[in-house]
Amino acid sequence: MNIQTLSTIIVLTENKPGVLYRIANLFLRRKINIESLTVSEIKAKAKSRFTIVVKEDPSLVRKIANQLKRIVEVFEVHVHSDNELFYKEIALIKVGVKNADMLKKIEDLLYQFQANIVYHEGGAVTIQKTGSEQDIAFLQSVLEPFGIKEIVRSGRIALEKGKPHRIGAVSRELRHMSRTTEAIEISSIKKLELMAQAQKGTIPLAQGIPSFFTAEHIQKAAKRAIDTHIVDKYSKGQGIDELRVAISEKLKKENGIYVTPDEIIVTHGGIEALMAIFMSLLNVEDEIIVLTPDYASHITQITIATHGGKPIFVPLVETKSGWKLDSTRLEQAITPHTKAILLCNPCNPTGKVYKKEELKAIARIAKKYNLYIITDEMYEHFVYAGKHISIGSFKEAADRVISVFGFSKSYAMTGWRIGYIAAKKQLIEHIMKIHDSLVTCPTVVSQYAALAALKGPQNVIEKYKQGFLKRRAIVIEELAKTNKLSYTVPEGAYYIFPKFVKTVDDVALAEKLLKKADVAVVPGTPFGKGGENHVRISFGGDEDMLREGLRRFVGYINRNL
Amino acid sequence: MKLSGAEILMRSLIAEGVETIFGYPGGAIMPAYDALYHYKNKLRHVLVRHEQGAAHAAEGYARIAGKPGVCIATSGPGATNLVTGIADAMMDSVPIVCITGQVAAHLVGTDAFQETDVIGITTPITKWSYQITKPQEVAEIVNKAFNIAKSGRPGPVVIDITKNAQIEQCDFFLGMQSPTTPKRAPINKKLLKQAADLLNNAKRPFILVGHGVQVANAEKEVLELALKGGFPVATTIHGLSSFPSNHPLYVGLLGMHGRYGANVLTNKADVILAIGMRFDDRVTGRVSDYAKDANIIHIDIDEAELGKIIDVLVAIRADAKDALMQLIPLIKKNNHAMWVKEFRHFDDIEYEKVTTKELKSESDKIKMAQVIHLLSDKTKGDAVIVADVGQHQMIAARYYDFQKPRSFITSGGLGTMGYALPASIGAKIANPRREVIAVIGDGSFQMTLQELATIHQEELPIKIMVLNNNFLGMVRQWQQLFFEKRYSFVDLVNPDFVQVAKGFFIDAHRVEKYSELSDALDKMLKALGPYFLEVKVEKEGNVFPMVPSGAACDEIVLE
Repeated sequence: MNIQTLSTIIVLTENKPGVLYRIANLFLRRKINIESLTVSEIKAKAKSRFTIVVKEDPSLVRKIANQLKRIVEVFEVHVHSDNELFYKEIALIKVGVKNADMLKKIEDLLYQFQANIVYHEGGAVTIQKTGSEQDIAFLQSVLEPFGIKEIVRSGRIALEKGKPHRIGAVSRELRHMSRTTEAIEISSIKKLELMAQAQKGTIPLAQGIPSFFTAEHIQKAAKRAIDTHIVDKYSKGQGIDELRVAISEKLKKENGIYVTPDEIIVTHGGIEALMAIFMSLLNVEDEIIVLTPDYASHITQITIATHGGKPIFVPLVETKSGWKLDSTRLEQAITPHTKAILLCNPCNPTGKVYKKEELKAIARIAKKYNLYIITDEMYEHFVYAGKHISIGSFKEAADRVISVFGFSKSYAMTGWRIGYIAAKKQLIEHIMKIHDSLVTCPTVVSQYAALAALKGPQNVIEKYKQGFLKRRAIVIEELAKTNKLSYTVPEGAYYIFPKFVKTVDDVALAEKLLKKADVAVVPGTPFGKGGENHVRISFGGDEDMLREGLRRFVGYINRNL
Repeated sequence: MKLSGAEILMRSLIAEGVETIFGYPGGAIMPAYDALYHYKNKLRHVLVRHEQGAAHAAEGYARIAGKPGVCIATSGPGATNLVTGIADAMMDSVPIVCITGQVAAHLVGTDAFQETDVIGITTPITKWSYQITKPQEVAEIVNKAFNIAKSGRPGPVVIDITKNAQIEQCDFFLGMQSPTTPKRAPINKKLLKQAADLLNNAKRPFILVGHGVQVANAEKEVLELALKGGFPVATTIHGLSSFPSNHPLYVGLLGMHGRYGANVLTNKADVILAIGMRFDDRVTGRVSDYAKDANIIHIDIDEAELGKIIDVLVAIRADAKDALMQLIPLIKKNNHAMWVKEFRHFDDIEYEKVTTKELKSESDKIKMAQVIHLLSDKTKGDAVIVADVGQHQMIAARYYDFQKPRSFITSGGLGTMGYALPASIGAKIANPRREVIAVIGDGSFQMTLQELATIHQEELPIKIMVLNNNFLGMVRQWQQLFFEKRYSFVDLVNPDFVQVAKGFFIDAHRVEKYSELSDALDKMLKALGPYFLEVKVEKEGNVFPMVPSGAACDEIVLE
């Protein structure tokens, strides 16, 4: 099989009639489609410069380049891959605008995408965007809901980059990021999110935000903290003492994890906690095993922390009675480079709650191969069947477990951004170095709010849980109206992760659902191996919306699959 | 001095050293022909009977003379009739300059009478093409055309001249042309050293000679290299006659109907030096199994050929002569007698299984191989053989023992039936002192036989030999071997060729019995003028050995 990659062929020729014909003919003979072709006169000696983009096997492209050199009018031929070039194209996009509100929305989007309106006529604006093909395609997809009337693209123009070590050969392009960062594709979740925002009347079943408000006594505590000026200055990097004492007690009582307040770091939500752990733990060559499907951001974080390394996916086995750990498979994935196992319990996106035997097996394997265990227990309070067990409570594993918890879900505090890490002192010391570099200290006012949450009445959690249970029932009821899906009833968290009976492109399907059915769900592929052919539906939102969203979802798949 | 574009064209051609033009007049080229009338003492015009003949004659001329052949035709059908010849020259890297008339510039693009988009049609099959619309362009473009045709890897160019550009006048100064010698890029010394090291350390080295050796006049250098290193040498079809056929180091023709040993041992060689050849599929057989054990060194003037078909270890972009002159001093004196002997071992098998059978007469019927073998003996391998396309072509390539360079002309790349008769006209004119013998099949002959009239008109003492088996023999052979003998439209009910030739006032004879063959050939070779000999050959003779289509070159079969 040939590997087709994008190549840019730059050809300098005499500026004479017929040259284009001779060049184009070479591609015709080999039946190669030209993705983009631009020609312009360049000043020196009335030459023409061709920029030809093709998607082909690079060895074939080199052969064609040699044949291009045969053409009498051709002076020079250069073939480049994208990373050897600065390249751009310009797109002009005409979008219909019905009212000022719509215009405002478009302008906001354009600001994010660094594009401008260059002409405004009655009922439409012409937008100019300069960027890579992907940039333009991305903007195009988020503008589509507004109604694109016309689009034109210039085709690629490109300049070769000079040798990087030479003085003067400095990239002045602001957008040029680290290789690792540039290689990370904007997640399909983010893309759908942007599209959903742009689209009026879309029902969001994608993001995991609970619809509840933060409890009043928490709000009040925060206000009090502000009024008494105790939040004006940095706190201890690790978090205020009272909060860590409260957390330590909570962990002992609820999770069976025995750590001192010094063995806790209060973080800027769970996401900071995990990033700090990965960065303090992983070398470039290290491997970390991720039990999938798993929260997509974990995967991105690991890629960043290992400078482009990829996590090793060990998929759980999907059975009629739920997702099961295959410990043999887990053990087989271990190599001399393996450093840790990551799990999310209860699991986003599958709703799986790990059984005691499974956690025991993980602990046993980790001990056998001397691995760390990183556990994300953000949804610990939302378990609807059985009991949530923290792997950090196992004595045999206590030394090697790094646990992450948070306030976002349990207390409906996603906006407050408070989470925490619990681990043995010798690990905490190292993670602190990263935590300090990332945030100095967590937001102080939020720490007081979190303290109030822990100290205050705990029945709020139960209230939310009952709410989610009701919503879960709605989900089951609505999904019963289709035979296009198979799924297990989630044991925890507030997601359901149904599988399509037929094989589908879940990413494309999620886009179609958004565009055609006005409902946003998350495709399964970004959640890693085993996620393909699934979608994640969040039932965090309120009941009416949930019901309508599911109605649209089920209606669409019934009609189209 | 003011001259018409047509007259400038004539002067420009003379300035390029042109002596002969092959052509056919018509409406849009008439002003040029009018100018030619005044230059007929300096420019010999050969009036062909079909423009395709003009292109092939120019090719034959170029291949013998070693300089560009020139043909001229009118617009529309005149130009389109050249197309086959142009494509043929492109495939075989033959320098020809084709001049076509065109309707007046103001009519171009209006579907005028006899207008056709010649540049559009010929672009994919030319090295370069240009439409002249003003007399001021003529001198410069003609000069450029010749330089392009003959420089680097030679090939065809087309100059399309609108009628007004031929008629209108402009200032003309002698010396407007600049006969430039094409620059030759220096050869990478490191690569030469690497090539020499490979050859010096090789256990089973093998040299493959292609057309590029003849184009570069590098025959002597190849011989010197082979002798110094003790390397066995094989040739492609266009490499034939660039190495003496009876030399102890010569191991034969490569490819589909090539020599048994040369094909089999290609896949045993440890170092292959390919000079001026392009690894055509007829040479390589199944590419994935070609010369797997060999480190390949490829010398070619065309960069696009390096690595096009076969991945090579050392790719040297150079003129063959330049490269060999620098390579020879780096080669250690050596001999590979045992390795060369392996070829002889296969030769013995081939001789026993194929050659003896082909040359032995069981009845009085004539076999194609017998004709060529006898012809080779009688001419001492000294003649120019112009072969057409088909079984007779392969037989001529296999059984004629070439002794002199530039002795074999044929359509190798495009495989154009009807090539030989007009090409022999060009060949004979390019070198009247050499015996030119056209070897043609009965099918091919009927594609361009009108050129007999040209041969008669020009009184060219060409020997025309038609090997007649009343079949499109090569197609029939494939049908026999690969289509279960379903002979689909390959039998030919032919005219009386002798009467046809006589009708063109050409001395013509027929031979049908092996016992009379020798005398018939003697008589043909003694003839002073044009001579036609029809040889009735065995109807269902086959050409062997053969690498079946899609097979590897060492899967060659002998019967």
